[in-house]
Amino acid sequence: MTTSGLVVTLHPDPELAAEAVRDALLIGPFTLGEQFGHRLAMALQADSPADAEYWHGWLVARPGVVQVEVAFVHMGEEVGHVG
Amino acid sequence: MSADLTRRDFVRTSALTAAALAAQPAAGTAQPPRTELPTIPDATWNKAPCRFCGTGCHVQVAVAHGKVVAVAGDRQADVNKGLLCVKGYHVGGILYGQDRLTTPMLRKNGKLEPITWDEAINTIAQRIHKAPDKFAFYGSGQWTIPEGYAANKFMKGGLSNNHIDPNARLCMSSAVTGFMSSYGVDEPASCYDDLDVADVVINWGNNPAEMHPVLFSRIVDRRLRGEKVVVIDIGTRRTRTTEQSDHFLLMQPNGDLAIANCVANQLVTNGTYDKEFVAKHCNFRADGDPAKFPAGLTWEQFKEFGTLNGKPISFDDFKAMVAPYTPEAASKMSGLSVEQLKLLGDLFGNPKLKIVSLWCMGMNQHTMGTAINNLVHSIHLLSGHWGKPGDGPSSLTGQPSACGTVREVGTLAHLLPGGRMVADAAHRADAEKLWNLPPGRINAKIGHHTVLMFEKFCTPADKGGDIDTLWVQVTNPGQTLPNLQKLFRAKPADKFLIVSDVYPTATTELADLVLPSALWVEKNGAYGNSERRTQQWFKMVDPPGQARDDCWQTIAVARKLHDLGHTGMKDRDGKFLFHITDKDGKPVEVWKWENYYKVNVDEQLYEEYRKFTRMKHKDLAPYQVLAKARGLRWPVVQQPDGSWRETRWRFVEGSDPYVEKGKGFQFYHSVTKDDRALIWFRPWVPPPEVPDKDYPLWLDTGRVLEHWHSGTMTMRVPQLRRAMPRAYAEISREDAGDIGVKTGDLVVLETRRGKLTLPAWVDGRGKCPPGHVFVPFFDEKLLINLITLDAHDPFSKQPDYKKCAVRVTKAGPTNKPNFGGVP
Repeated sequence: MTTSGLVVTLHPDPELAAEAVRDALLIGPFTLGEQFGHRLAMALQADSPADAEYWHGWLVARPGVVQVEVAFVHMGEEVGHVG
Repeated sequence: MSADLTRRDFVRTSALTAAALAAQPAAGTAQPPRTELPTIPDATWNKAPCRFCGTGCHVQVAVAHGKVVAVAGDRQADVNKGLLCVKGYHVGGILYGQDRLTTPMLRKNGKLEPITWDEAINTIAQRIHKAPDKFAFYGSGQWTIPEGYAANKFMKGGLSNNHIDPNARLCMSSAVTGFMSSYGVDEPASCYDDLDVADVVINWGNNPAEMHPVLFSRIVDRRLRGEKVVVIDIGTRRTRTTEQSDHFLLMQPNGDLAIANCVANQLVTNGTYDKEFVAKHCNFRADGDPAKFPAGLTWEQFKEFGTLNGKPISFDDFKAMVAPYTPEAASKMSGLSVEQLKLLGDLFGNPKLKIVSLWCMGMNQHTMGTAINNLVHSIHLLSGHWGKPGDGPSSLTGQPSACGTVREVGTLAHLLPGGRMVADAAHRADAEKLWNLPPGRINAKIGHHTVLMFEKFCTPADKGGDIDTLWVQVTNPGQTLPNLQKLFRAKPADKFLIVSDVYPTATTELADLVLPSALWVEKNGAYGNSERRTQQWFKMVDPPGQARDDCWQTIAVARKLHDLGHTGMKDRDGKFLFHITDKDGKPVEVWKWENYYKVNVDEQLYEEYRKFTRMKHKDLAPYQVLAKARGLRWPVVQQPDGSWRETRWRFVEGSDPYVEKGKGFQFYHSVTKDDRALIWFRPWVPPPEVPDKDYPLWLDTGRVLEHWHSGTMTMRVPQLRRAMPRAYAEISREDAGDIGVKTGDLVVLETRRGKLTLPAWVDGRGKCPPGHVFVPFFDEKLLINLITLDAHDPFSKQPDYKKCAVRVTKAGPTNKPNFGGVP
């Protein structure tokens, strides 16, 4: 389980921004947090690093999203040197 | 509700809280930032700078059960205000790659085999003891400050050998020579605060959206909040920075020289230069009379008469020198339109605007790197866009301590700590005094710079190759040197390569001895970022296996040499060069690993080094003050109340404590010893290698968002590796059509140095114009530096990785067309 706290900068076009937020809620493993102007707090919780990577990329690619920054990442329980 | 679900909810809430706190301040709240950290069971949090680029973001690192389990942006850090880029996101993961080096290994019969640390240290010491003057040390802008200081003292103060140079020679030495020859002293006068108030931000061959994303987000955020910030991208290809820019000015390679001279021409011709600022604070310089330049001046000819510090000229001379750079003429040299050149001239000519110039590798990795650095400083000085908040030139660095460890500690072959010069007898005497060495111990001869060091190492001894043993720490020259076949892979069998690193690399492939190193929060450390900010952190977890600090490795070798009878390893009182004591003043044998963390070796080395920093107004804060801060920008000077005050803008009255009252601005290290900065004329010349009928395209190399430099760390993070798994040749649709390739097809890139086969990415993430190809250098399996040019700036000795001539032909289809989101 990988959990990250993201700061999503939304597009100034309110329709594009709203569409991105709606899609994130309906389709992705995202939880919405507080919004400050164009900046929206989100949590992304995925079962595997591969899933997290997919959804991070998916979010970045939304037309209503200008940029995604990271405020927090929990690496899960299985951290350690492998092999 | 299951325990697992509860835990999942708990971590999610922590993530949301951290994100909300980080989102908050940029929205304009007047409240001080909240700094609480997410609660993670059994975890303790501590601060550290990010391990990657020169921005110097601070992270909070959570450790539980001896492992790093979480990372958060540090909300107390001015640099990043709680935010991180995608690389910072994964910085915890770099510790836990599958193939960490965990034991020393010596090559025997062609194979690396485990040996003990005692054997390893003894092997190195014996090699050095046999021929100390044939030993060279190649370090890094990722060395911590104490690591670099120890290596520098060991070489220059111990072995009387100046053959020490860092990889930063490859990334920012042109910025150093640019600052030195413009202001008489190195490093930016400005700071990141400028980005919060500038009206215009000009990126000169710079892509901060991918390379310094947290800094670039400051600008993007201001624009989204409705502030007017004009962003101009001057470059040879479109990048993610271009997407956020108001103007993209597509230039020809070396066109920046003509552009800057054209701006100067317009300022002078239009009378829009800042007459008062120039009269009070500037002198003029050039390499000679352009009327005597040969017709069609070439780079080779420029090298013959150009000098680092030039000759004085008058304003009228300067005016005559920039006269040929009319917008019409400069348009032909640079590729910009006349209108675009006039746009820049008008911006710089407008005193009401605040203008920041930002640059990094595009201006530094340049055979005229010193010249273009001089010219960008010059147009800021000439126009008076200098030294006010939001108004000035600012170079960025690519490594976390290129400034702190390389430029300030002085790990370049010609420097001593604190910005002092090995060629200066007084500076050597000062260093000998501080190090308590006998007079004359420090060698007056400048050591080999990076390219020369590897040339000498790769040349047989009987043909002038005067380096026979080379120790590489914290860097990967087997991937990052230019023209690798000549400068790295030609290593003769009888030469000995020692490599300290954390993972196997293209460099360890050829190593005779490999030493496993501790990484990031596995050791104490301090870095210095691009805005003169020194940052400190403490060790948080143990390194794996037998991996040990690089600093310990250096001290252990020094001690072994001491025991072998090398007199240089003792000071004038007979004490060991690294005389470390406990709190009662008793010596501690820190060369024995079990003792190394019984005292804070970093603190003692740092405090010893700090004395040097006061010699050139680069005063660092005490270690214990740094331990409580999120970095402080030098000069840091103690106030009457006992507090320590940092400096945001150097040479500016009211900000810099060393500027005398009433001066306004004072360039107190000026080349001309009169407190004035230098406005330079440097000529436009074409690059040394340009496309022709045999090699008809330009080849440019660089970085990508997901990977940091040679990918040693980021390619070990599965998410980053999957996002960008391999290098590619970015090529325009037009050239792809001519060659008959589509995305994913293999193409052969051939230069005069060799050939390399890569998959093509047509109109890739960046977009090359027709006639240009771009290849990132992060992929150790596709070493683009096998074919790059090793021509370098005559003053900074920094190679130009950004332009050489290449031929591209179709090789065939590939089975693996995926290289980062490409269908």
